[in-house]
Amino acid sequence: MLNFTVRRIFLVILVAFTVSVIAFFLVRMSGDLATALAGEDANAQEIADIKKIYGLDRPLIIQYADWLIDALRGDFGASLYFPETVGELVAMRLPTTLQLAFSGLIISLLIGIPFGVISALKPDSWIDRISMSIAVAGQAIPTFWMGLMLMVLFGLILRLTPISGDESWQHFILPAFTLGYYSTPPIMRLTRSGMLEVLAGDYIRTAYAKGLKPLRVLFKHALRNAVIPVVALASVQFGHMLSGAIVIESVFAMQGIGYLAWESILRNDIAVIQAILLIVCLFYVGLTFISDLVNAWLDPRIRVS
Amino acid sequence: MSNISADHQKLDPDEALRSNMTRHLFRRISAHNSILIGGTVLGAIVFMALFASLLAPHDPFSQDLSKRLLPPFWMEEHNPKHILGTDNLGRDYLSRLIYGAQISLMIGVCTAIISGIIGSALGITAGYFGGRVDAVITFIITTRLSMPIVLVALAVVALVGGSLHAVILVLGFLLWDRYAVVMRSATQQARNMDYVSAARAIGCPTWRIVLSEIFPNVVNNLIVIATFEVAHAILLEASLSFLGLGVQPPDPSWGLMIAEGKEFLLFDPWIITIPGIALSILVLAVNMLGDGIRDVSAPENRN
Amino acid sequence: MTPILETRDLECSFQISTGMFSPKKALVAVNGVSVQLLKGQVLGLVGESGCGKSTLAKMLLGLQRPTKGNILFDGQPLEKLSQFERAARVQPIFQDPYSSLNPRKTIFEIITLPLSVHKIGTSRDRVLKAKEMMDLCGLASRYLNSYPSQLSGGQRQRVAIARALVMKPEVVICDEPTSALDVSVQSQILNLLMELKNELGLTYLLISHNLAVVEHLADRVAVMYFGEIVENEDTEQLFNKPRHEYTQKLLNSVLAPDPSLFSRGV
Repeated sequence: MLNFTVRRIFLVILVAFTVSVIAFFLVRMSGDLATALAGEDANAQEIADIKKIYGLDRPLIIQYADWLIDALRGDFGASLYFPETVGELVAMRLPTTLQLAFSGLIISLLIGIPFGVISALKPDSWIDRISMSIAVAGQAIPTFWMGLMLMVLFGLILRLTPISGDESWQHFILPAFTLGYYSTPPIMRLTRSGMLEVLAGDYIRTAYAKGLKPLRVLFKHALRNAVIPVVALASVQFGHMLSGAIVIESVFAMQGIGYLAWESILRNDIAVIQAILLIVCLFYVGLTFISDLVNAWLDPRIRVS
Repeated sequence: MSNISADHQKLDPDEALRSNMTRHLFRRISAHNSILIGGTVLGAIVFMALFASLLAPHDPFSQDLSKRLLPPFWMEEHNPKHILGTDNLGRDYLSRLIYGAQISLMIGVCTAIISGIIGSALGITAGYFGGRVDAVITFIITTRLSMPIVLVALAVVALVGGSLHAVILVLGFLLWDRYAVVMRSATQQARNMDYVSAARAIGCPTWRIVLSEIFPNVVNNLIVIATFEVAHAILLEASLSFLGLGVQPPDPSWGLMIAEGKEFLLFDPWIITIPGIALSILVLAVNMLGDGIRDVSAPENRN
Repeated sequence: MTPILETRDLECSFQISTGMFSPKKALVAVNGVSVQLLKGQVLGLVGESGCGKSTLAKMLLGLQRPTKGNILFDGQPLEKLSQFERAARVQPIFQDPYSSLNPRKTIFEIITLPLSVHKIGTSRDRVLKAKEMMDLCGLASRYLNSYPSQLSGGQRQRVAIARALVMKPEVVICDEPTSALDVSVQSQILNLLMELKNELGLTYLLISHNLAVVEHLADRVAVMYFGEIVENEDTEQLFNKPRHEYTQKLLNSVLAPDPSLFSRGV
């Protein structure tokens, strides 16, 4: 296990490094930073001056190294549009996104696990079929449209929730549900198949044979074992939600980093895009790492390969 | 008496076999059903897209500001010439919807082909050669998986400028991961078969082994993944266009139609409802087709 | 008499990594093996699974590069031959006819693959050749356009034999050619192999864990144990007076010949 963990950490560092290279060069290619800094109507001399002041005339590799070292210290440079530094901006906006993704995850677990368990207890029953069908159908609905329709239904027609913004916890209900909905089917499926496998195990039959109460067997023995892989999946899903937040936040006008990323892409605010790309990727890498560790801890075969 | 017969039933192996068979049969039938339903709906949409110029009652681009935001047929004050109403520029909504199917299908299919070629090439190479080649390609896959698609796609589309071609290329170069993962493990399996050793012992060159011995035996996986990636690409295009960084106006992308209708959703919610339903039906049809093909070709891979 | 195929101190080892910080270990699969195949004879190779028999076969077929040592064909080092030239001289018959035939190809395509790879003959020639080989191997030519899944195990193995012989090789490496087949079919395939050997003047390396098969077919037998040849004798000599301790154990433990198998006269 230790060996596996060490190997994984090496891989994670390597992937993180590669991702940082991609984040830097991808965005750098998207526009001339000097022109953006100097403004649309700057002349050649002004642009050249800007290049000199910001060190943009140096080789890209050196600029990258500078950027990376600064980024590791938490300094992501200055935004073209906002008065705050990029670091401050991200720190300000990140909590909203994390809250959103976290509430989304809770919702998907709260729906996915119970329905997965029920489906496993009664495989091929109507409730199994219906929940699976809803899951399949739901995957076909575009997130942003689902968000808009919920907004129309609950915000405009029923007037139960606020329409947009992020001022109170009520504002999070619709976006979190929209976001959580898309992670529900995989969680439901994994819970179902995990439970089916566990319930077929000898120790569950032994527990029943010992005369333990069915509910006690279900919760104490079966669910506990079936739910660990779900934890691993949930960690990956959390990463997907951070990325999905871009669409959801712009639908509901929530001031998270997803919305910030979208605005900055439209404005070509390079430093902000780079920072968000790097941070979200690092979240992804870290969360996948956690999920790999959980899975390897569960299944020793993974550690060897 | 009833108890005894119930117990008897439980123990009767024939009965157990029969119930198992009905269950199996049920799965087969439902797989065929989903191919049938998904295929029919998809076929209808493809037909609509192919013959858009004949089917569309109006020019999807022609504006008539005197006829702005006419409601669709189920509402009062609708105009019988515009069954699904008109948008904020007075363009016929049904015609835009019909032409929009072209965009969604084009993006879905082209993206699935590009990413299919990239992913299969990487997956088969990794699976066939193993060792260091495999380690490098696995690393590339891992790196790709640690980049959020929407964010990267947005950044790149912003870089090259939004257009149909840009979206196809960007998504094509992003959505290859599932192909690579599946093709890699399928190739690893096929590679260990003796017919590959036999071909090598014959002196068959590697490219020929890969193309004629390995590829025909892993290609069935491709079809299933391709259908899911078509659906994936259609949804992503809609998201990108909705965010203003995909297909550009005045093209009638369904995602863009929802974006354009967003500001009118307060009083005219139908304007986003119609293209959203169209998108959902298309994606659902493609997914059902894919589910059905997967279940029929390999029932044991279900879930 | 120079042997047609000969190995000299052949060695093959694999690097096994046991962990990131521990040094790599070498797993020696084949260790200093020297065997000789005389033209027209059958050399039996026996040993338990994992002893290196298959690795040796792979090296002879050019599927695995030896770490050390030489393989000589007709006195010439085999490395001097290209894979093409080698393929025309040495061909394999594998154990499992379910795995050795590509399920997506017709019998015609499978049998004539060597011809098409080596660009021998026109497509008309190849059809004739395929029919000739199928006839030779006891397969009805109506199966020409069938797929392997439509054939029985024994028929599949006949296809594999036809493919191996279509280029008229001199040496055939038979790696457990019957152990995946039904007992009733095994003797038919063994009979076929011996008939073909006599008719075409082939030389066989017969790898088997079935000592009864080896005793009846082989002229000489080599016993392999942990990557080494521990005994290499005339068949009769070996089965009557095994010298090495391992051979004695092997004979005592496994030798339970099934007389019914050979009652139809091999």
